[in-house]
Amino acid sequence: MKRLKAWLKAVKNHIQSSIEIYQKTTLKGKIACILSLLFMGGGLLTHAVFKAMLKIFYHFTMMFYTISLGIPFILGLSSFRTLNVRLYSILLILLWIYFYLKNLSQTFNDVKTIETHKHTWFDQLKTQIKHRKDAYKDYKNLMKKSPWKTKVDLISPFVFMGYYQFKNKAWTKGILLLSIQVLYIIYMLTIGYYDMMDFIALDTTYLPPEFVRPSTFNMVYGLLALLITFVFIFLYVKNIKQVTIYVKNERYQIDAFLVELKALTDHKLYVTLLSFPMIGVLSFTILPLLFMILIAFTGYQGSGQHFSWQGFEVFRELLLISDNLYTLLSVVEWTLIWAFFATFTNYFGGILLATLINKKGVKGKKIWRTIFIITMATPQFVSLLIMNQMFAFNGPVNQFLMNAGIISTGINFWGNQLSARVLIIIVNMWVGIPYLMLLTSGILMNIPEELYEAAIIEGANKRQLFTRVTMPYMLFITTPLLVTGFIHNINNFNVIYLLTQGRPLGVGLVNAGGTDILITWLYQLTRSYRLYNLSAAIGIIIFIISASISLSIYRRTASYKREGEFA
Amino acid sequence: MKKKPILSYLLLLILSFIWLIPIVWVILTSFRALPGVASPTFIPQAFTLKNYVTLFYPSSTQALYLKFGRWMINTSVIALLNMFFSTLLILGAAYALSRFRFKQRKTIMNVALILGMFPGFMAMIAVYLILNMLGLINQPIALLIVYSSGSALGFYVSKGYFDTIPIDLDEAAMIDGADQWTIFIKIIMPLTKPIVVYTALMSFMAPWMDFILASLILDDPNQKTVAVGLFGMIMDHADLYNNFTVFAAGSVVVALPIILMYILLQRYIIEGISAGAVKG
Repeated sequence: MKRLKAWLKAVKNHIQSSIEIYQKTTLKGKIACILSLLFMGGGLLTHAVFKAMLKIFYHFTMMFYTISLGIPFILGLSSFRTLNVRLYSILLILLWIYFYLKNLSQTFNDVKTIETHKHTWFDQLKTQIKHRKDAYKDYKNLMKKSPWKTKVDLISPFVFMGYYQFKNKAWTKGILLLSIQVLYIIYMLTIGYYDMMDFIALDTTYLPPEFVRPSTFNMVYGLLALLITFVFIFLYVKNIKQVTIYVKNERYQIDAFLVELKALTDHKLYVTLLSFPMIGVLSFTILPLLFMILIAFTGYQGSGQHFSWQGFEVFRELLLISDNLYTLLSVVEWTLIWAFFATFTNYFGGILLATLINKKGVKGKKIWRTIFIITMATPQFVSLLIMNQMFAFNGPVNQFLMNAGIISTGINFWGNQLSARVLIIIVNMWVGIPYLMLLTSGILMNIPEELYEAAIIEGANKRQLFTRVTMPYMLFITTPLLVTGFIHNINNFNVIYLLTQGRPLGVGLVNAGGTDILITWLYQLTRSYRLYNLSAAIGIIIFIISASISLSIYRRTASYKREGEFA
Repeated sequence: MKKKPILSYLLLLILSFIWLIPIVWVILTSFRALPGVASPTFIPQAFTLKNYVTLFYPSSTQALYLKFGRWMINTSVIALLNMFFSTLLILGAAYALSRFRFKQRKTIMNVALILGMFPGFMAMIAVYLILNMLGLINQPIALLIVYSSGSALGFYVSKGYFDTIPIDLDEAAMIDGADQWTIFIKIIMPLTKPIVVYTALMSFMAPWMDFILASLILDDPNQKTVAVGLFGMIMDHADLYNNFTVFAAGSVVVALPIILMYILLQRYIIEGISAGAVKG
């Protein structure tokens, strides 16, 4: 009772101080406070949009879930076969409330320390708008005071790209700009416009048959048209800006084309170095990703060639039909368990192995290391398929156990969900520990000797040396590594697929196996079941999970901040 | 610590045994006369070279799907070309982001970080469709295009390494009249040899190791890479009995050069991996 009273008092104080903070702060702080009361992430909107979006998405998903499913599940109104879902629902909702409150107090704290008021995107936007306004004013002034000849120069880039360059005898550049404009216009008139229209309609079966394309084609071509348009607008605006600057400075001698080209190997080398990768990434990473994100909002399933937009239908099916939701939750659960164990067993195993090999007095370090490198160098599809066969029902492990008289009939390791899962984690140790051993030995050898000496003087024994000196140091240095490792394991397709292909069949799961993690489930859904839109939606969910984990941890680590200071 | 660390040796021996035994088993299986996965004894009763011969000169029924020689050539060509292009792209991007300060730099790095969080497989269906439009399905060259165009996203490790090279060197060269390209090629590249070798090696490895994308794009037995081909050999369960020992032989042939390369270039690999660890 006493404790409860004290707690209530603390809460009351907290609320009071919050109100004080609210009263003292600026208008922007007030907005942040009110928004974060209304929904999670609201307070972040003024300075960290991406993070805010994640939080808002989470908040509204949970709200949606609680009202439509969570409460019926908890009250037992919805007929459902397992108790698990009730527990999950309570857990999820409690977590949600916890995060909400935490977010709220964090926002008030930020507002109090006025941390949110430095260099936010809000301010950046303001300065950007100011820049634009200034540029526009400049342009207007120039127009006002200059003679009509200059006026023509100023207006020309809006109509003809390259006119100004032609006038100043920068032929190559002029031709280049003009041809870009002409080509773009021709493209838009002949292909681009129709591509965009088809993109909006997606299902074009109402057209005469010679114009009908599969909807996937419509989507890719439409995205391409949009990308091309963006690039064109970028160049167009840039040209206008440049011409205005030239006119303003009365610098009619436009840099010769060759001089500009030469700069590309010198102080503008970065343009050259980055443009090729950018083209590659745009066409084979960003374009496909945009495509798949959009697919989640269409009806693309099975072998149907023509489909149309259908909004959030798939998400609704995935989250509101209880069997689907149960499958999703189970797979997410195993994905997180798997990623956790895979990351930490490898991490600690790697460190232990590295300390063992690098121990003073152990001879033949290079030979020991080489032995483990051999397993690292074996291609995964070889080693994992071999492991799969070794533990097969009639494989050598069972053979050995039977010959030794430990068991009388073979154990079906892969046939049982639990044993398959445990085995996956063990085999993953075999695959991953050598890599982490190599990775951590370098860091281990760099631990300052003084730390150990100081600890020994204070009477630490060997085990204490490891737990008090080695581990804290390692953890400090390698937090980013753990995060990337965790993300890598969430997406670790090879280990799961090559070992079990998601088998055995999951109990009560829709189209998913007992060892399927999200990424292998996604693979099966596309290859075996052809539920493209569903798998795209799962891809988005994977992204949200990985992004929120890494953003919340990675941004706090030393190496990220160091880079931040650098820039 | 005067006494010999006998316990450590014992532990290392046991661990080495655990780590080596699957590999030893594959090698033994590849020489086994008796086909099938199961073998009554760990060490085969009869040895043979037949499996290796079958690999390159398969019987007429196996020859329909078993084209190991072609797979090796396909994979080596892709690997070599990918090594060249990817290394160039990765190091170029890393250098640009490490040495230059320009307006979109931070944006580019953040976008790369965010793109890395999307599951790799997610985009592959779309990649498949795009390649299909370009008529590149069942063409190994498609793999090369996809690998190298996405490679630059892995610039983080090399960028971290370039960051450690003092900028004074560049400035000294600049005073001597060298342009940035010369500095990059003639000064920075030689100084960062470990990371250059590491990047090249990893790019060379990718086609040997990659399975998902290749299995999606390549279906024709003549155009497969070793990973897809070997996987197909034993995952088609009707053939598992006859193919397993041949599969083991194939695995040995594929793994040997890679293992040798790892052992020979150990120094660079360790340096590359630990550079990645510290920088994240």
